[in-house]
Amino acid sequence: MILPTKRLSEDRALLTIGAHIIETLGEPKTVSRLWDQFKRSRESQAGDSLITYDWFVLSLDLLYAIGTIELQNGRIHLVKP
Amino acid sequence: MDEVSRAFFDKCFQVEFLKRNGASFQDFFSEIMEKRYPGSFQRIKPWGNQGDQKNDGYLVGPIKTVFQVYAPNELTEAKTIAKIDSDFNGAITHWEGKFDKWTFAHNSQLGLSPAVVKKLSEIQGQNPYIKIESWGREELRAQVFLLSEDQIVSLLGAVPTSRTLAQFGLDDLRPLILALSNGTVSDDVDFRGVPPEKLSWNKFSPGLATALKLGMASSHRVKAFFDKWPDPTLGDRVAARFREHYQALRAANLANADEIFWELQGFAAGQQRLTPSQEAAVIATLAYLFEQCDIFERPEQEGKS
Repeated sequence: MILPTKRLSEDRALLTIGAHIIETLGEPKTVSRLWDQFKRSRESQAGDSLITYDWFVLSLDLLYAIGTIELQNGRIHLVKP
Repeated sequence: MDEVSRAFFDKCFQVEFLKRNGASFQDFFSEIMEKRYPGSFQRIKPWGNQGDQKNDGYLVGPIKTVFQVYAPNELTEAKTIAKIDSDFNGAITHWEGKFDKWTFAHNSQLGLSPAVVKKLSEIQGQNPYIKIESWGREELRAQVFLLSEDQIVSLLGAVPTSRTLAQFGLDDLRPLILALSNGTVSDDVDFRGVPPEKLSWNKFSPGLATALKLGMASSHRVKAFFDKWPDPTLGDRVAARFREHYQALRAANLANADEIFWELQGFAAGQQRLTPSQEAAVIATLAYLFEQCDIFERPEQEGKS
């Protein structure tokens, strides 16, 4: 799930989606706004490779678990190194 | 008849031969013979207190044949010898002068024991003017494949053809995949491609090899199904279930790759009889898993996956 497998393409692996989320986090955003922007950006890049909201949230969970993002005042922030 | 259809008909015949006993096997035998020899083969049924007079089927023609069909749940040597003795002597009593050949048709998967063969040989020696023979699976299969394709479809049901393998639809694939989707996700990171010799290495019969090659031509549709399915783990979960089942079949020491293949096909189909299009979807799925090296062996010099 985190890394690509034989049947899970690179563009749907949680790590890849996480990288894409990070690119979209130029500033703190609510989960809804982040999801909207992620979807729009993804449609223009990945064609019809489908990512559901559940899978997007799993990727947020991964980024949180590895200390890359945090939630403050209802907004997702990148954690400063 | 194309190779793919023949492979499926062969498998259907094997299933019928193995699963039927007693009256059901006799009905199957009679149906084959009636199609093979219309107007010449007469099915015999017990009639009141006359019984069947030791004749389960009578073939007229230049050589008249009395058939005795014996298909118990379990074939034991002593009972088989007693049955042959009783039935042949009964045939002589009731049908003397009316037959030139006596055929003992049985459902043994492993053939007849030496003692049974000796008994038949003994009867032959004592009756030089009557041809004594036994029919098992191969003899009956030979009769089936002398029928027309329409007759075989009537006997065994419709099966996929090479064309069906190219034309199955999403409605055929979706329920099959979803029924097998409760495997566990594993991060399988062996990305080696399918070696070109993998098909020949596993020694499939020509018909199955052809079916697999045709399935591979459609396997991109299986991949596309997984790629577009909302749950990205579906492909891995389905593959994990097949891999697990394949390993269990390998551990059970089945005779050859064909047997394992048909067991996997049965696993995919569940208990139901599928339409030709659904069967084609199963073949494409198995071909996809074959290409992904989830099932069947890689050539040894490359190392196992």
